[in-house]
Amino acid sequence: MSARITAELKRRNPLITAAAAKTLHRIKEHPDAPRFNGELGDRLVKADLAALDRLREGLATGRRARRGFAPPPEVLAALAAAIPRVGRFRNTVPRGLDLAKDWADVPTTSREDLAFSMHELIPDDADFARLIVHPTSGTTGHAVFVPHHPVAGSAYLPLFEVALASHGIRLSPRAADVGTVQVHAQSFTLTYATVHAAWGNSGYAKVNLKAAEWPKPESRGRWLEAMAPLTMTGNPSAYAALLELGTRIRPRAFFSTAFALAPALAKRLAAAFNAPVIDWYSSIETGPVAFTCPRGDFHVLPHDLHVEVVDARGLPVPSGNPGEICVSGGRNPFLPLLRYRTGDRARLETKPCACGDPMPRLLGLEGRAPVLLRAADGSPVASVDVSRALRDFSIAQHALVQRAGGAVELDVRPLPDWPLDAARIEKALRGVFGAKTKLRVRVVKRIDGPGGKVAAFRSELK
Amino acid sequence: MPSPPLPPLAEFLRWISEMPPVFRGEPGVGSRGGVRVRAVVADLMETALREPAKPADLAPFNFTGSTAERNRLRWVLAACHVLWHPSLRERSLPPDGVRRLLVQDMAALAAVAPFDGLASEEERREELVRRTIGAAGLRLPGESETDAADRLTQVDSIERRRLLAAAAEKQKRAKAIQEELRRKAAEEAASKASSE
Repeated sequence: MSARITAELKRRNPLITAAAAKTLHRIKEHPDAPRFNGELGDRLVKADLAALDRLREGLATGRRARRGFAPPPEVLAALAAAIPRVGRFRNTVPRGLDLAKDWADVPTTSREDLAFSMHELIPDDADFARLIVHPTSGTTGHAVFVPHHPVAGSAYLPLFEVALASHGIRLSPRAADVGTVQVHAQSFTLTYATVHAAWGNSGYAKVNLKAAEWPKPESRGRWLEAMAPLTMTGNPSAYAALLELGTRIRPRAFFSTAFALAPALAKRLAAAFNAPVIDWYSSIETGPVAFTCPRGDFHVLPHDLHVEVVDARGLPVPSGNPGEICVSGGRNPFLPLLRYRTGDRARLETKPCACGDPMPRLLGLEGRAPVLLRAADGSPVASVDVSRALRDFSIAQHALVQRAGGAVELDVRPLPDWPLDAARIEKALRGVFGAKTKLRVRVVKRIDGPGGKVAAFRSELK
Repeated sequence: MPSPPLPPLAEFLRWISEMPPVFRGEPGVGSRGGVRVRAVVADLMETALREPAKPADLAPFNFTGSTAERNRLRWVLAACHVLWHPSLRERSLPPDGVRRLLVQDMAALAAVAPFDGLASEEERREELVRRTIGAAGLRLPGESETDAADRLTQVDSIERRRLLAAAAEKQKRAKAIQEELRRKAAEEAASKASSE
């Protein structure tokens, strides 16, 4: 394979340059490169770069201290424009409501709404020409196909820049660089290499550290050193695997995603690579919400996402009190969020942080605890592998529990008018947990949890 | 002298159940037998509106022989029968309301409800009474305007059909969007620098 820009490559990366194609070639064709199992591009066109530049400007000027419960004027204006275009909001937000004054009266939405009523939450005039979809089961077990836009995906990069700047790091990646490598350590994940036009057309790769995907086990460390990524992203399990490799890479920063990062692991990672570890709170439906500053506190990240903490009735709780994180706004044209309850809990602190970042903090963030699951042979099973196995079924919500003896029990709630075959689901689960695991799958009409909160995954294993 | 109040709903329902053959009969076409709906409406208009109907006003009541027209004109005859009730016949009725009832309301009702329902369903009889009395600008005794509107809604075939159609449309959009999301989920997404 050469560094030629083929029509297929141009389709995936419309703004790719010759220099970027060369970097991509280097990532994929290095003798120690992993066997990538997918092809993905950023799909960005020129106008999208202008939109991302506007986002950068907004982040530079709009990240300021918050007062009161209502969103800042720019978020309110975007929401006021979205309400008449979204069926659910039209039907539930009282006409003539003064959003700024009566914000607490605006009804909340939840993952349940996304699972069952996505059609009511997508704007009537949405143009699906550039629709992409990211499936998720999140922490509440509601299987949701989240509509997305390429710009929303690339917006992660300007948001990275804000978090990096908070740690005193300024990066301007070029096409010759590998901007980011995302690492995983799980039985299966989509892996690919591409370039990101939003980050100077620098290279990007998503890899699985599972040895079987590489030419040799030692290829992993050698390839990472050859790529010399400027930043790394990954979940804590993947970083634990990275530490075991003993590789000598020198990224400028690590972003830790998906679930809670244990302080001991963060400390080891930072010491081993002499780089800050930034914990990243994000979900597919909201996009990035918060990042940790050098003091370790989560700060709300995007200026165009209003974050509040609410009680069970959807009323904002006073600053410093615990409640459910609820977000509004964002920049996904297919899914404007209006008081969307994430299912995660924290305390919102609006007092200034000693780090100097003016945005509110989310203290005591809960809801991202990793769940220990094991296959029949004792090997660990990532909850994301189970989610992937369930993705092909028309499931509205699921709750999986692994009992102390290893038996796996799964309750699934079907989407209306989409039948579910428990035997087929059981077969798919067997592929993840192994033939010898005791399995029980039930198709149910309702899934309940303590206090109305359903855990998508729960483990009683010690 | 003010008109006496209307009788209760039960009296109108009785009146419909005793509808004479001329109002229950089949609309006639050409030289074949059957009820001349145009003539019935002309007669009613002259009595109820105190003036002869213009030929243009009677055009909608000519029967062409189609099944849909037959259903509509049978509803028109039934509405004429209700308007013939002594308590209405003795009043001066609003011409526009009566015309709208006979031309538009009965066409809309006929589009969603077969005339045979009048004999078999009490709700259809009540609906016809309420539509007719409403078109005459009147209310049943003891009912406020809101009560009358609420009770009509409860038996309103047209509204029910509209709601069913809206629900079906909503379900159709839900299904179409779910299918589109699933189709796109199976296709290539776009890269983003971290996973959730």
